[in-house]
Amino acid sequence: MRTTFFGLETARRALFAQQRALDLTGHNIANANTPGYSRQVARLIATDPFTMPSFLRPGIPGQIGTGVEIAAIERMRDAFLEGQIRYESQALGRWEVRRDQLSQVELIVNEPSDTGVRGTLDAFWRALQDLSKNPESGATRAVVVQKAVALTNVLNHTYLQLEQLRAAVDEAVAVKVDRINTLATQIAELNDKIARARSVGDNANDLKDQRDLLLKELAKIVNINVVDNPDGGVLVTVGSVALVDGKETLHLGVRPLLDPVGLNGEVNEVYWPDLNLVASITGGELKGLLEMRDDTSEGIPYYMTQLNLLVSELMTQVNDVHDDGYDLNGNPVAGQPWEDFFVHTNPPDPNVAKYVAVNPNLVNSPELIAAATNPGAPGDGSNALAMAQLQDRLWAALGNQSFNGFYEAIISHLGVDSRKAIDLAESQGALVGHLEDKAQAVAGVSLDEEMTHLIEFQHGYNAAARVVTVMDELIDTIINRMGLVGR
Amino acid sequence: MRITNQMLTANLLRNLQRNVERLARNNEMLATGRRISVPSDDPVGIGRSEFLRTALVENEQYAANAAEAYSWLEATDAALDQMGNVLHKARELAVYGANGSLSGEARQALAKEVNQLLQQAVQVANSDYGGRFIFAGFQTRPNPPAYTAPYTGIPAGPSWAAVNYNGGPATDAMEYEISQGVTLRVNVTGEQAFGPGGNDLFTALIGLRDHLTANDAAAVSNDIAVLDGFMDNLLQWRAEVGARMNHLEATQDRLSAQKVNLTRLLSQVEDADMAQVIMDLKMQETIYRAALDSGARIIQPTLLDFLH
Repeated sequence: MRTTFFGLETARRALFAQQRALDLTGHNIANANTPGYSRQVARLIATDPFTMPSFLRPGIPGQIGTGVEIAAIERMRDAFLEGQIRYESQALGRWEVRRDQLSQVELIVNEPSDTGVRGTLDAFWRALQDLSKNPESGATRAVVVQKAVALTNVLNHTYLQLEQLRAAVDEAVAVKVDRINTLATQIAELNDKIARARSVGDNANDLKDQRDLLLKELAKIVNINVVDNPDGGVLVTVGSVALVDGKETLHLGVRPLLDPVGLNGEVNEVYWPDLNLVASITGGELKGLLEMRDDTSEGIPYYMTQLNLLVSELMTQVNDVHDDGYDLNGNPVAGQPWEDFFVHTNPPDPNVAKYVAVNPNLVNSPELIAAATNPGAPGDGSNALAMAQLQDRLWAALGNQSFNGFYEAIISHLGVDSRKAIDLAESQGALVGHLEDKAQAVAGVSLDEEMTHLIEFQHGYNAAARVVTVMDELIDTIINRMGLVGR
Repeated sequence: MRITNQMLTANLLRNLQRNVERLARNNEMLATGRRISVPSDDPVGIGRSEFLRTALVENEQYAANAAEAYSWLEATDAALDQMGNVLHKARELAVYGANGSLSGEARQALAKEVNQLLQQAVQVANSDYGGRFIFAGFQTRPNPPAYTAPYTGIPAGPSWAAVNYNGGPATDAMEYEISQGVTLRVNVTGEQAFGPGGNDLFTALIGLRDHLTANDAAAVSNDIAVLDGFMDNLLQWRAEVGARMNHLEATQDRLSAQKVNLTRLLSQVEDADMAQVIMDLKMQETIYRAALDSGARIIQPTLLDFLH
């Protein structure tokens, strides 16, 4: 038997459900531009029908519908795509760092130009050629000194800037580790909140969105693996160590490590302080920074060691020729304090390019440059010519290349590396962009859609209200107008 | 695929950004006129560019060396020419003085003339180029005295007993590098051109003078052959200097042709093709404008604009 107010109850449920759905649409519209927000939908289902099969069921045809209710509020999200974005972001972060750092190196070497190492080296050879023609001329000798000083200045400056860049990268490693720890703490807090919401049967949609956003940022910094825990939390591992597990976190730290390349004193090593274990970093911005800092074939140390190699060979060869010669006064330079043309001002520091200088004796007295091969021969420029001709000789220590050829190879290497980083960062960026588009296609808020829903639910609400009115009129008929026959 | 408003704006921004980047790159190429500003612009080209720039600098240096060598040799050639004239005159005087019918006074007069020639010869032998003695080997400096002294500085007059050579030995070779690994000797030493010290053409002139003074016609007659010997040697060295100058001229031609080639190659590697860049810029601009236009149309309207 149907009760009198059965219809009213159905309509009330409809009103509530439509109202709740309208609220949700409003929430979606409000967050249309919120980063990381996933649109939410109310899963509407028909309530349990009347009557349920039993021996005591009333003898009416059934089942009768009893209205609508909201079973759950779900967020629209493609978990697989999220995982893909996190995975690809690691490579993106790595290549973006490499691209940025290598473009810094490009600015430092300042090629192609006439004021870089190549230009000043060429000018030095030219000055020696001029000296070979005019060994008696004080002016020509002064020019040789001046060009050699310009060369050593450019070498020192270039090297110093590379060293500073490397130090800045090392500093950035510590900053990134801090950021990882902050993110880990925030993720752990969210894990806790989400688990508690879940324990009372709620979907913590907005909190999960926030956590996904943090995970995405974390994935760009370091290689992480994300696994869902049954309680709604996530397990985030770096290498084989759990950075976040539920509400627990294990923080990363940095400790001083003897420079693996042997150029500077100490660098920051990333490790797990609680485990006393070196962290295994294989991706993300942190990996890019570590590569730039430590890699001797693709990082900043490559340019530093190559420059050192070039400078030490240049010193050896020029000095070797210079110390056989005679100065303008006709005296041998061998055994004198000005025996060496180039000197290392801070031996035995391995950073030769930073400390190379022109022998101060020669700077003060250019007549002491050994331009002559013969004693007492002021017009003899043959030793200067022998030094100038070093330009085109090939050196075993430089891989059978000339000084200029060796430097060209360094610059070409830089060009190739930098171009590779630019291209890979771009294509990886396009890939991540594409994946984000696909994720947005599922999760993003479409205003058109929401407006349509708004109208839909408004109509639903209006119609349910109309049902209440009709029910009201029906009951009014029974209560107020029945039994008045013949009055 | 479901398209959302955020996707539209994000895509639009990304594409606009890429367009602006290309515009900026084209603009940079136009403004600098260069295709390569940093090594990554063209990793292959940068290697060639660095190589060619060095090659150009070297080429300029070789050209400068060759030009200087040429000037030095020109000065040498002129000096040798003058010395030839001196010897020629001395020989004429010797032929005249060998004539048996000539009086002793006349020979004395000739001797004075020869002495004049001797002084002239010393002066020529002390020729300099840019303040450097050209026949003195490596002893080019004017201080201490001159390198071919006492050609000068000895009291003038017919009493000059000897002329000393103070320059360097014939092995004092001033080599200028005129192309990669190729050097050219620019100097001729006094010993080479004028004979070894003690037995040089100055000794011969002094001998002639003394023989004329001594009125020894037979000895004067012998001196003619001696002078001829020095003349031959001088001519040989002029021919050698001429050959070196020819070599230099050929080298200079080659260097300037090479310079044109190197400059052209460098321009090909480094310089932007203006026509191409302007075309690209125009095209990029069109695309950019179209993207802005379509973007402005897409992101504005929503269903809201049409609901009442």
